[in-house]
Amino acid sequence: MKALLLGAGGLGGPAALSLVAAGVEVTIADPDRVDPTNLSRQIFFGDADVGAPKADTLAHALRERFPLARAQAIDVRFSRDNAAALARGFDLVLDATDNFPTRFLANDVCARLGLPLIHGAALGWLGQVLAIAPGRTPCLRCVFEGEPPVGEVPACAQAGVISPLVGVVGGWMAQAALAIVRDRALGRWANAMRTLDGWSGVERWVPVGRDPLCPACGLAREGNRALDREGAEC
Amino acid sequence: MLTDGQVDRFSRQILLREVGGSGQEELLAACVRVERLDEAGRALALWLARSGIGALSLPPDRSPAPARDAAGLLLASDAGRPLVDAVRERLSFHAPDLAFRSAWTVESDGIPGGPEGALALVRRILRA
Repeated sequence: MKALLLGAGGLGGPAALSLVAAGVEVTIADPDRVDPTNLSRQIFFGDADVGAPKADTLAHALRERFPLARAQAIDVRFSRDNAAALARGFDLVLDATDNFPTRFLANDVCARLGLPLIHGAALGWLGQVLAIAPGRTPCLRCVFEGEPPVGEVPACAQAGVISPLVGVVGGWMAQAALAIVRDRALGRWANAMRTLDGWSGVERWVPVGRDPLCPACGLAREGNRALDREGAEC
Repeated sequence: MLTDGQVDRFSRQILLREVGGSGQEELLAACVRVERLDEAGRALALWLARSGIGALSLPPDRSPAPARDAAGLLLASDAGRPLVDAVRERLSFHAPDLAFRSAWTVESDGIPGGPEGALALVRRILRA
């Protein structure tokens, strides 16, 4: 199994660890460099790594722990120009990024390519994971419709995040990825988003359903998918 | 009083209303007992260290360190070393100022391992 991991930060590190430990080949895409403010929650980076490329540093750290690990780094940003080309050839994509445009881009590209996608997010004390199997489970647009207006939802740099929460959510992302590609029987991931309120300690499976009119994965979209596969890029 | 380096390092937690500067100082002043150094215990220790818990009390487990650590704390090159020695050295990578003490101020009875346990303990310290 080959997974493309978008984001080598707080969620990406723990997700990559669990996947590599399970024998999954992981390619990590992240253009960012390690910043001192990352160190309280991005567990594969130390003080001496500040300024180093995150993706390459994470891949190296994984190989230090599992010498037979198949972990590669791509020092690029997942964007409209390269998204479809990057995602093709993988069995699954994990979105561990921290911004809405990339999350919805990953959702739309994976829907077009028929690739499973694991969405994860953590902000403040709240975390969530959604496992998306195209044609079988709701996608990000079915649940959230689209990006919130700019400025409506603060980013981590404004709202903060409690450190261990990203470890929980990253681990859940790996669990969902393994369920989706190995078991095919998705269990509770099939129709629910897993959420955690870290301050109250309450974990929930929030029911979600497919939107037949979803522009990314709805019936109209599926009807056009054959055309998409013939070469149309996002 | 937090140093400039600590403010940088823990800035994302300090932004939280439930943490703030005083909450981060409480975390740094705490010494948490980690009961076991099995995989769950190692993951718990790692996430406590990253969260800014100031000190840990570790059991004197000198059994050989495993060759594979799914907790992500130990390296493959640690295989066979006395476990507590390897754990202490690797925790220092995660939190260079982390102290190790025999007496603890926070018990971890009934707390799960891994980041889930660290989250529960951080919450417990902040609410105390």
